[in-house]
Amino acid sequence: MTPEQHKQLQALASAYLDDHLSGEEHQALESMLRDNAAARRAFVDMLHDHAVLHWEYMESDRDSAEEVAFISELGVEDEVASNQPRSALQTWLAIAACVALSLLALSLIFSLGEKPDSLQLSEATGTRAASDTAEADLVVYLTRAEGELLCNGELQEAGQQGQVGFKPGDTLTLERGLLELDFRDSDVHAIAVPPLKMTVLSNMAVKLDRGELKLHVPPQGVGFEVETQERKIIDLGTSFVVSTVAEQSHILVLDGKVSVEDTPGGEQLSLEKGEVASFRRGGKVDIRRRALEGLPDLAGNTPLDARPGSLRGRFFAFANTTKLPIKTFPPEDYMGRHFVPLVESGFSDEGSLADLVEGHTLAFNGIAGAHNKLADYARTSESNRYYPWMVWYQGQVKAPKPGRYRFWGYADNSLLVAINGKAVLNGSRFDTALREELAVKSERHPSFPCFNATAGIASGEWIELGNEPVRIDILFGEVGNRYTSGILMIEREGEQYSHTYWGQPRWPIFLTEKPDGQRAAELKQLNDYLENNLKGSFSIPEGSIWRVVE
Amino acid sequence: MQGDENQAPDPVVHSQERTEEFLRLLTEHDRIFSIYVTGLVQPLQDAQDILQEGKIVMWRHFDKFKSGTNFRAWGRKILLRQILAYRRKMKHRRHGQLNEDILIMLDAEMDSAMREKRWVEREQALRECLRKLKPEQRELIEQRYRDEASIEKISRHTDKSETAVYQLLYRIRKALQDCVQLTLNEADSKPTS
Repeated sequence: MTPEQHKQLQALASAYLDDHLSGEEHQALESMLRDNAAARRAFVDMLHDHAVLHWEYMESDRDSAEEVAFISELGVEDEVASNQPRSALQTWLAIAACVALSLLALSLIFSLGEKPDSLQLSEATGTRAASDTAEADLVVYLTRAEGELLCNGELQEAGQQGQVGFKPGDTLTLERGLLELDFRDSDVHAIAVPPLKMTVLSNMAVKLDRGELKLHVPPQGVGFEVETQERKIIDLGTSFVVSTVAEQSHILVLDGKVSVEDTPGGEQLSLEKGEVASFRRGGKVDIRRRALEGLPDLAGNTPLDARPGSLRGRFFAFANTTKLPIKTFPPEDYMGRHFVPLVESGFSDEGSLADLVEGHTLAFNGIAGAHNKLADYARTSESNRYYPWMVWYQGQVKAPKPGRYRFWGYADNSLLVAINGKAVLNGSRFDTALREELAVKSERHPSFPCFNATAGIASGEWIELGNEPVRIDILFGEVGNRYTSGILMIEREGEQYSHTYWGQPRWPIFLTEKPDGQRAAELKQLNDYLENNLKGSFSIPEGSIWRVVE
Repeated sequence: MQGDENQAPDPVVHSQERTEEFLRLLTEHDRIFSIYVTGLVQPLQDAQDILQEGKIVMWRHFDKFKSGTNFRAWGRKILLRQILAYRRKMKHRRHGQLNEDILIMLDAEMDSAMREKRWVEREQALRECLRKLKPEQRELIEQRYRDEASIEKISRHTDKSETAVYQLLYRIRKALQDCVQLTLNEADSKPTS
């Protein structure tokens, strides 16, 4: 490969990695890779660098105080390390935290270097000093503690962030508050809540006598063990919760897989996402499934028939004579595919919906939490009970006040919002037809937890709205089961929203009717649940309700 | 689609010894698997999904893996199948993805790189070169890779045009690649004791 060809490959590779190749460039890159072995070799090295940057790109950032830079093209001269080094471990934690469930957003915040206000470690004299243990012996680091933490019966003294650590054999007890830990090298991140008694065994293992542990295990931590009730729980790259109270233990798998011994020292059983295993000391494991990880299913989410002043929802399902394969891999979104042409036509061409059957017309009541009753209510005798469904809400709405707005949301499975026929939010799950086949400008925000999205909530593009009503279309649907959840919120640019302590603004739920007292109380209950479980947040401020214009 | 109205599949059960072997092998190869999938699949979230699913497939089929044979090659084949299935499924969305025949060629090239272990030194060189970036360049790389920010978002944050951001990223990547190559060449030219 000539130097010119190599430079051209670098330019094409960079554009490819940023999804910025023109059609012509795409052809040029493919041609080069197909015909030139040296180009392929150089290209996979570039892919390697790209992957490493994703996974561990800042590892060497901490000790470069006297580096002499020589990247002449960039004009770099003498270079000093930046003021706040971030280790690879911390960086990985931040990334991993983003893709984990809500509790992991904490690690992102605290790994960035600012000591949280809630750090309340005792500074009393005569306590266990932060530097009591040699650095080399430490296998787990304390990121945060609320309440009085005892280590081997002594009050743990506060130290610099990341400097308080524990060695194998240390027993930690906590009667109130919360504990956040990072395990060395394995980068396992744990949040422990009282009444807690746990013993550190290594950087890959703890023993839990009582309390609740929420763990996120990144790839390098696969194999992490929690011992409880005389048996081992082994992680296979996942998020999970272990709780032990009065000799009764539960494991809830939030994401990924976990294996647990069926009996102490016995065979390994595999638990999948959403499964709960319960066991007592010496007893066998009882496994059951749990829908939506305990998300409250609000009575107020029970659908209502459309009425004047409400946004009207048309319910679509397959006819009960239609036969679809239920199980495929990857799962197929037969329903979503019917709606792709509708979205592409700006919601003007319903031709693709012709072979679907409509159910009851519904009133829009907000999308918040589990909506498991929706399909059962809206289906008619012509609709197939077990197959997918979609609700298409539509109408003219007026914003509470003029300004720039954007929607935030996510659904398991399908959620799409359009204004005046143009899709402005795609909050659908990654494997839905709406996500796969439509190019809607939306961003995911993994640092903002979402109860049903490990990749966080999605935001749409900003839209300018005046005093005139606009047409809104909302699609909300299910690929094929009866567990459906979602959340849809709206942000007005410049509006001040309160923040959760992990930094997420509490945007208003998108509503077109003011919730009555009972509904408002339920939404508050849902929000309390989400915040307490670090699964997200929202609000219903005064003056945030949109109006349906007939 | 959290739940499943159909019967859940039987849990996969392996002996404790085989479970430990699987975990040991997976831990040993986890990084190379991560790099392999992340290199071939974009965006990162999709790569992570494939990786996760691939590990589950490995676990399910671990009884077919013969102890003592090449786990990396076995796992890579599973991951490649997962990637191809994903690409076929995503073909409507990812207009910019490379043709399947090229992907197969890249897979073979990556296999060579892994067998030759040439990425071990490359990774070290990349780390060294990262340290030599200016703070603002490092900031840009962090935004792109750590925060997974879109070009549009970086453009807003940095008050630069999107074209300028693309160009800056290209220049930084090019500089890093050139730096890595120079570092590797220098290492090669050092006399061995």
